[in-house]
Amino acid sequence: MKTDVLIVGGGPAGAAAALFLKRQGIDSLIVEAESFPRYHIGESMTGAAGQLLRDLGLEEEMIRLGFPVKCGVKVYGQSVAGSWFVPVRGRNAAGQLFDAETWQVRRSDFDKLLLDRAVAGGATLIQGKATRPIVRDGVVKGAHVDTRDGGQLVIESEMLLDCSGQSTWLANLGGVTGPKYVGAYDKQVAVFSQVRGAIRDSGTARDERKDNTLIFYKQKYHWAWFIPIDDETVSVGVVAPSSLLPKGESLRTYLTRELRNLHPELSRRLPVVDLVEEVRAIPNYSYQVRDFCGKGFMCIGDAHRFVDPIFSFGLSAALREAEFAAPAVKAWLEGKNRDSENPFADYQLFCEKGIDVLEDLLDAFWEHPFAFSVCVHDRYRDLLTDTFAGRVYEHENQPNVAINDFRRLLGRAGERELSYQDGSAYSIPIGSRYHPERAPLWDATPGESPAA
Amino acid sequence: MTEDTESTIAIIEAFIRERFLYDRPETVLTPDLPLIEQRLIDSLQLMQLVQFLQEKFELRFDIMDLVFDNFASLSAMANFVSKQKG
Repeated sequence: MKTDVLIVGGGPAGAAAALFLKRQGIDSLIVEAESFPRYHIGESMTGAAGQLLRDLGLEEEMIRLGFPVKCGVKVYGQSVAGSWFVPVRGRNAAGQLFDAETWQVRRSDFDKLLLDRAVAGGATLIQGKATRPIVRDGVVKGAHVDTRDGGQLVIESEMLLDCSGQSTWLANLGGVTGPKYVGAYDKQVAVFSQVRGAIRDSGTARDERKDNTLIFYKQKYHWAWFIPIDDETVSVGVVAPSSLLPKGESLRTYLTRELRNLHPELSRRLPVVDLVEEVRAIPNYSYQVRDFCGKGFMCIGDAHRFVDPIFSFGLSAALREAEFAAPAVKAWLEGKNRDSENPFADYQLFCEKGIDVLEDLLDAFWEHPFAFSVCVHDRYRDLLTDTFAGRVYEHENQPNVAINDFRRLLGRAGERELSYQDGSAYSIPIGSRYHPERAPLWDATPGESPAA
Repeated sequence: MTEDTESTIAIIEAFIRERFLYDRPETVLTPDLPLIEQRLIDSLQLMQLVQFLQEKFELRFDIMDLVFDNFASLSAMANFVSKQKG
């Protein structure tokens, strides 16, 4: 079996890649192991992600399906009285900010919508599991697939897109991408579910709308999210250092207790902790894959990098990287850059620079909360609004002066610039805060923590 | 304590009393009282205080100086401001 583009994974990165490729006149074949709809975490979108969906012509469908409308994020800090609001704002062609909206999504519904659209647009969907890539003379030429019905397929491709999400399919197999490194937020664990009967805001002001994201900060690296996903249901999760999760305790007991005790404002909003979804956990979610693009392949979204979930950048990064991938893939299919060592070096650096901006924002938030607050509330309010909205790939504007100040604060200003200039088209892994040595390799042993 | 520091402390204290402690006039503020630790002001009020100090004394604090220690008490703030002015 042959295809121009083989997409491994039919989640938002894969489905959006198929949609954007279709716009370039390119058909693709998607391999997805699970039947949609299926559960997935990561329900909140940035303003940029909302804008991208509008650009894809999906706004009407998003409204018809009744996805909650998000106007911003309210962050409750340690002082009960104080919360700050990060509004979703767009920026128009004249460079002016305007109030904008994006969506919260039940991922089972949203991911199905995107995948259905991709298939309706001409993408072929094969239900099965990609087992290993086909590599000839250093070029990825397709993949072996075990199909759902027990068959085996050899799918030859000119281009393979790894959109496998946090399972980082290609990186874990080894030999195709560069190594996978532990990220700054390893040894953290996210435990999450959904609740009914939560008390939501009910105002008309943008910061008091019922469907906004709420974040509750207890102490460094220990926080909770509250993301409405329909009129009754709210996604809730607690993120904390793994050491705080008592051994032997069930995830349900742990999550229930945390939701009651983490922050008084959160417990006020949850008079009963009625968990209506299985309680799941994701440990050690922070990583970065080096050289995630090469001859005949690229990794998109979580398949190559995940920093920290607190400001809901995941979907945004996956969708936007998928958008930017399309023209690069088209050029490759037209025979361009065939002789260069990494035909997607420009694309790779483009993506890395974007996530580096996010990473520096996140690190400044965690490591320098006071300076961060002054910047958000006063000094760089508008510039940080751009970053929070996910406008991080606009390299003519990013890193802006706010992000550059964060880099200085984090002692990595020169480091970032150097990493862009040394020809490796690759950002320096900042590495785990727990490790004195920088960026140890990820230990791929299933269920084990990264090398300690 | 220099005269300059004393007058700076008085200015900051007046601002805090007027803006944050208006309903608690009996509160005793000593120069070394840890304002945040004692929860006399919260983190959002602290932001307003930083803004006020910059405007009042026509300063722009470098991001590297935006650490709690420089704003922990009246005297810490006054010392920090006087260093910035110098």
